[in-house]
Amino acid sequence: MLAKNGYLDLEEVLDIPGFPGKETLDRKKCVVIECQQNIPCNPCEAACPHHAITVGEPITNLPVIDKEKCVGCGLCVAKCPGQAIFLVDQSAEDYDTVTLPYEYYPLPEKDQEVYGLSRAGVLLTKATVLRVIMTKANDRTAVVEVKVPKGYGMEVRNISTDGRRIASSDEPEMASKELLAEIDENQMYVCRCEEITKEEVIEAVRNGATSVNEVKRLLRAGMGLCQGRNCAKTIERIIAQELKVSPANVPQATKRGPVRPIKLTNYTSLEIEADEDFFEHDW
Amino acid sequence: MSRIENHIILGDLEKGKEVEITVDGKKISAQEGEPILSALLAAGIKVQNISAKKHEPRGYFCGIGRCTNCVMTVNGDPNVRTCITPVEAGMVVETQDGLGKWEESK
Repeated sequence: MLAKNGYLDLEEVLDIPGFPGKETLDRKKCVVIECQQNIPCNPCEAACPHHAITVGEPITNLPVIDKEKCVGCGLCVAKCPGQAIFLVDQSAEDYDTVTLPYEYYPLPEKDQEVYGLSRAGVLLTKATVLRVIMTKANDRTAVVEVKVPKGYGMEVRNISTDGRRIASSDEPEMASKELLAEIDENQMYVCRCEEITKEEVIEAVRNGATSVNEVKRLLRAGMGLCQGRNCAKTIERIIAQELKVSPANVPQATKRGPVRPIKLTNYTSLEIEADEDFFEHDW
Repeated sequence: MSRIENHIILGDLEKGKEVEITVDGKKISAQEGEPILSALLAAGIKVQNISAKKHEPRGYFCGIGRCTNCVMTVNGDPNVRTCITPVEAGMVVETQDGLGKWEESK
């Protein structure tokens, strides 16, 4: 499960709108977009010259594919920043092919035998490289098509050329119970500059603070070196959670310039006369 | 920690001019113009400062000049963000205790 271990299970992939269905893949080479998170992202939509991928409005929609329009050209594969786009072809009788993005050295060569890895990075099978595409339009991301044994088309999602970067097939080693017991989310730092933990923020909210500014006045969170650049949003969410309201309804911290830390000498060496308009910011 | 010298996306590491900087009295080699933090990590130095309240060792967090977790005393100036400050030959870098002291400035 993606939320739990960082990769999708096959069952999850079958449920998302980027999966064209087994019948399509058994018939022709088609795109499989393993995109399950509603992030604001749509380069795939623009990458397809056949308009087979639609994200639309709002931009947080998951990409939907038109399996009839997709010709399996692979122009979208290198365009996905999350490397979630693959081409799968299960139409051949004795093998499947998978086209995947690859961003490691050494690059594989045509006909080279490589290791086919699962979504979890575990070695599944040997794969043979059919082609390696390294074009300028792909901006340094190689697109590699590999031939895998029949049945592995929806399983192999990465390759290793040199036997490195392969995950162990054993269950990942978990931290000891004693160590896990020591980990307490409430003791985690929310504001690292002033060393304020989540527990302290929650206590402040229970004592009546309802906005980021109030938490700041109680605890000094956001008054350290970084000036709240890291903690403001986190505190907003903690308040929202505690008060059971939407984070959008929590009053934000007052934002003031300079947006980035600069040296005072940058101000004192300015050769300009400040007039009144100069101080009217709209952050 | 070693440097990434050859990477498909990042490209090849440009070899800059080798200079020496002093970290807590020890001389380490660095490349002119690279972030101070980069030289420290390449030399295996992971602790940048000791936190002000709880006196815990701290290392860099964001690496892009936002979080100020990597501040050190550089040439006597405290609270210099090492992740975005370029190396100059002969720099004197010190692990900072808390918020540092301005008296050390020259």
